Amino acid sequence: MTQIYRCHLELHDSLYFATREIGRLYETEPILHNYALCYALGFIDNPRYQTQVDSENDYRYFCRHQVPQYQAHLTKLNEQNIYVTPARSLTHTAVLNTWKYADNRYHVEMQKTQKNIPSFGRTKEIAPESQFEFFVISANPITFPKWIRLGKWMSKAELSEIQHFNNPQRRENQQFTVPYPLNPLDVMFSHHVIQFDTINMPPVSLIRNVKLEGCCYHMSQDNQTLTLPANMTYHFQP
Amino acid sequence: MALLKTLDSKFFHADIPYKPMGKYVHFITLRITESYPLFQTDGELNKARVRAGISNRNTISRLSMFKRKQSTPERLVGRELLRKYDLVKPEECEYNVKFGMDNPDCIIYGFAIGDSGSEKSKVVVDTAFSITPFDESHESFTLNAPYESGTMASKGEGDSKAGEVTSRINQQDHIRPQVFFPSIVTLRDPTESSFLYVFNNILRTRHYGAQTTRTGRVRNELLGVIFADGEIVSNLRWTQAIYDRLPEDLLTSLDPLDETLVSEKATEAIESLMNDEFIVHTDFIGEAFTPLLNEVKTLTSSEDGITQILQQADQEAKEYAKKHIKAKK
Repeated sequence: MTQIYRCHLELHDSLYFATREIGRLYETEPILHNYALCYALGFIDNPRYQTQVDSENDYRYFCRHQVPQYQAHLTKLNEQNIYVTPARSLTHTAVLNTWKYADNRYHVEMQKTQKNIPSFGRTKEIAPESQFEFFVISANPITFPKWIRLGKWMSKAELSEIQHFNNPQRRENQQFTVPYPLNPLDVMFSHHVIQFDTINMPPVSLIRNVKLEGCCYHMSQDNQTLTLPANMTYHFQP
Repeated sequence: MALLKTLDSKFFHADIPYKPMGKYVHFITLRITESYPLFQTDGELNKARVRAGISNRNTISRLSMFKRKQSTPERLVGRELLRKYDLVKPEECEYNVKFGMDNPDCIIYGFAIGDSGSEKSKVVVDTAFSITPFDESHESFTLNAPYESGTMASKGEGDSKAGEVTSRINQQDHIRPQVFFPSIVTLRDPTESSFLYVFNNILRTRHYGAQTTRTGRVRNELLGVIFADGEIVSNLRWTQAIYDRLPEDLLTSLDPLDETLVSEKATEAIESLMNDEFIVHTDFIGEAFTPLLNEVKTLTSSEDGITQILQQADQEAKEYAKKHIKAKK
């Protein structure tokens, strides 16, 4: 039986990840990628959800290579029918921070840097108490952690499940509009995507205000109808 | 070899695991400024506009102590000790220059080197917020660099002309003494020695903030440790809970808060917040924490004790590095 959870996230620390890099300025866009959320929620390589990956790609404290293993990790979620949508901001503000590398030497001679590693810069971050919203669609019921960590600096955020739709209505061949951000790769194989706005960000740009045609879930509560595309799965070959 | 008698070994791993195993220890600290520290961005003190309390929903500006500005001085203290007791040679491992990858600092606090891989930090620190509002927690100072005569007017020293008034004058906001920053330091997957290593670093670190100034004295008062199987409440929520418990007139007064009162309310707040958490946790707070704190302090204040901790931590780090870092697949 399909379960749909509508979740809220409240930041308790400033959140940073680089949506864009403009010289020494690193900018965080107030939108959370669905890949990132899967990791943050602890769905990846977790025996609790039967998403363990083989030892070559498993999640370790020590990472030999700095190459993300999205395909190896997220395919396991497809097998378990767990899907997380990207999160949009409900309210947010931004803060600017500068950072610099600490140096422990008493005397430092200025040298030309050998490696291309920035030693100082500015980050535009999303301020504490900003709020986000996203959905989790799963074949089995899920219990969520209360506190999760997000972004490059592992910022603490409070997770609350605000609505749980048990067995939502499924409709075939509908034309509908989704105001929430979606991952285009995950819907374009199951739906006909008609219109959308793009949000540029790595590793896969997202879309929002999407008009599509295909299967959808229909949920109504308090005179409001929520529509989400059905059959969303992680896809990697465009 | 167990170093601690007051703690059950079930809280610790026998050796450092290669992947997250769901053991957490949270150090509950109050950071108290004792001089005029600086946590700033572009000449301005770092601050955040957040809600005052959990029940008091007004927004206020708070001073913030950014996460790495707390963890960096702490790990530097640990590194200093490792060098002092000859466990790390300066040329083998230099902070942010060249990481040795096999000592306690590198393994516990992590490192990232482009082509040699990266170790995730097992210590996570969150931004701490002042209990009192920004307005009551900072002061503006005028800084100047007078001539040796003690005046701002030149007598013709160096290249200057006699009678010229120096422009070496500036204004800078500083954080006041006795401002309280509740802060939780989280250590994932502790072994007994990594727990003690981090514990000792927190106890010993005395200076935070801008390295070029000599005024950043901060004292860490540990209120307790919590062993858990997950993350616990945030610094922000805890700070807000303390705010709610303090009388309004004290919070808006220009006088500093009383430390005994803050510690009492902070302990009360964390205890009540822990009741709302739905994870498994064992708390050592207040009286239950005293024997442990005393035991750790006795251990870390003797040369024997501290070398035991460092050696064990070093041995574990070396074993871990041999098994999981050096060995190519």
